[in-house]
Amino acid sequence: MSDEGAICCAWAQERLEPYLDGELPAAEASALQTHLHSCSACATELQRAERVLAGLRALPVCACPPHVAAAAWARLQALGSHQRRQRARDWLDGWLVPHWRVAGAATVGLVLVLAAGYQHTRAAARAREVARAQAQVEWTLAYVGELGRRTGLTVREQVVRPHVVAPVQRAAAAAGQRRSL
Amino acid sequence: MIGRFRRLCARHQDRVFTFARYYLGQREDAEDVTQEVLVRLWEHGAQIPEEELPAWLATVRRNACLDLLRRRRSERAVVSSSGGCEPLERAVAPGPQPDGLVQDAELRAQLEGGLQLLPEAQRAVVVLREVQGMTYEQISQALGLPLNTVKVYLHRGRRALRGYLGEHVP
Repeated sequence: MSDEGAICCAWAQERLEPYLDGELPAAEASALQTHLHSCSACATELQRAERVLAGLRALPVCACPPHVAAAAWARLQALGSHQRRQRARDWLDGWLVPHWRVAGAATVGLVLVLAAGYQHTRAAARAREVARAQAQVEWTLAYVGELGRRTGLTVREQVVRPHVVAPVQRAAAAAGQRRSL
Repeated sequence: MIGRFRRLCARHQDRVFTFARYYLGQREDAEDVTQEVLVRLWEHGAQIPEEELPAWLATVRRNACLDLLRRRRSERAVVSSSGGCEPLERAVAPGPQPDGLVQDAELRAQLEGGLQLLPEAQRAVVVLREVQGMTYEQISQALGLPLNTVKVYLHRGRRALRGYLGEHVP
């Protein structure tokens, strides 16, 4: 083969692929076609290129096995729980540890506030109980006084003296007589 | 939530698996890559505009394949060129078949094996373009290559395949 023929074949075979794709400029496509008409080797090479191209485009779509998606989902679930734990650790490492003084002071302050609140609550409860008892005594005395006013009876003369004082005096006198005997 | 995940997988998994299958040449590797891509798709896919999703997905699956290849290279000292390519052993149909089908099966086996011999960038372009039908623009965006470079890689890849197959292509 002459140098001119070899150059032409090399030139032609470099352009077979873009020629198949229709991307060769018109002038080059025309020159290539002229060469292919006269060169059986390059014509055979073109057929081979067409066969390769057709074979590639005929390669089938591969069905993904079902377990792949299931495994991906399981991995996402594991990643999710791991990320939650990691975020908690990151928060501890990123904020709590560097700011432990602030965190400690805030914790102590919170405890003190809760304790003060508890004491205040207890004192308030006692005060309420005393006030309630006082109110009951005042009400009772008022009731007794009103009762005495309406009935003309006095509590001291008609109730306390005969039912409280007199029995105590009689018991004391009886005890004194038994000692003298 | 799992229902939404299943719908997402149904829409994309075959395409991802097909690319990985032809790019890596090993079924088990393709399954690992597909799983990885599905996880990334679930975590980040919602942030990608619909029109950019094909290119984004192509980027992710190709990068996942490259990551796996790097891991494999660090695990294996030598890759056998004859025994390690699964398609050459499994793609040829057993038993007597019509000549045309035998030729097609042999051609498919040779093409799958030949793809593994291409440089990675050419292999990715050939699979994305000829097997999965992506446009030059999508491939350019997915692989971060200029448009003309995509065309050059495609043509060189196909020419290399033609050369590798040699007399096996009738």
